[in-house]
Amino acid sequence: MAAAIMGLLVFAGSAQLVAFQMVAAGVPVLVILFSVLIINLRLVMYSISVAPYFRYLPLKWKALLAHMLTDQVYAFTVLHFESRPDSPNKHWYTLGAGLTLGVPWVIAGVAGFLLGASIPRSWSLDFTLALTFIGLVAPAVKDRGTLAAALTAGVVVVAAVALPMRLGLITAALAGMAAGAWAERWKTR
Amino acid sequence: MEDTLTVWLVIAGTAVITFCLRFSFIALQERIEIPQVAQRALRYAPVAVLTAIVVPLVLNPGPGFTLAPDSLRLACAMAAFLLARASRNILFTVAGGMLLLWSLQAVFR
Repeated sequence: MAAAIMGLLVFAGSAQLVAFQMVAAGVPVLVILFSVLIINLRLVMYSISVAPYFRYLPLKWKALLAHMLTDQVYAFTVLHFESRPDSPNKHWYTLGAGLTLGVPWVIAGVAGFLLGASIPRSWSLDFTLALTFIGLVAPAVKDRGTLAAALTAGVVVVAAVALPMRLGLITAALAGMAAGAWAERWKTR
Repeated sequence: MEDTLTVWLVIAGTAVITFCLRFSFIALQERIEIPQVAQRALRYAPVAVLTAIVVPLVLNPGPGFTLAPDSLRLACAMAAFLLARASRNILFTVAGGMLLLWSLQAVFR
């Protein structure tokens, strides 16, 4: 039940994952929520980026489509809109992408909750998680700024592992963002 | 599982925060402008956040700058990085990485 509701209401994999690792580690609720805020800061960027395309929609549609904005749906949507700026019914395109991802997401979440404990550890299925993130990050590193952001975040998260309450993740994410912005600025001078 | 109240608080809080972040600029449109510096930093949020999540999954760091990676997983993660860059396809990356991991485990364990 909790699995289905969380998948449906939150619909953000990395935040769900980190939040539950932290619940299991006994981290205080406020620290967990602050971590979620930092992890999902990138959604603000997606929101800025798609806002012009949804300007003509009523508020209800905007809210619905906003909820669909995951990394993957954002990527599909923006690529499509950029290649066909005058295509009509952009909202249906985003809704389709969101449902295609969202329905299996909720079903898989429940399946994981019900079956997770009975899948042998030797199958190493947990490694798919690391692979998914690698699949997202590796192609995104394409200039000096993104390289600086990735290297900094990677080094800091290892160096900061001893910080209490898993604050290393937030520290690393913010350090990576700062490094990226700094490297970009340094280049343009 | 930890006490139910904590779980529900985390679920509700995460849902509200996440929705507000997503809805922020779609709702406000261009009525507010965020500073250039913040915009520039936000551009690096996906790479920074996702890297900060994945690196500990692979390297398994401990206190005092120690790393305790599973060597087979580390090898697969590096191969997956190259595969991801070449294919730009997450499904290929996950499938290729898992096939490699299972093959290596069959040989070395």
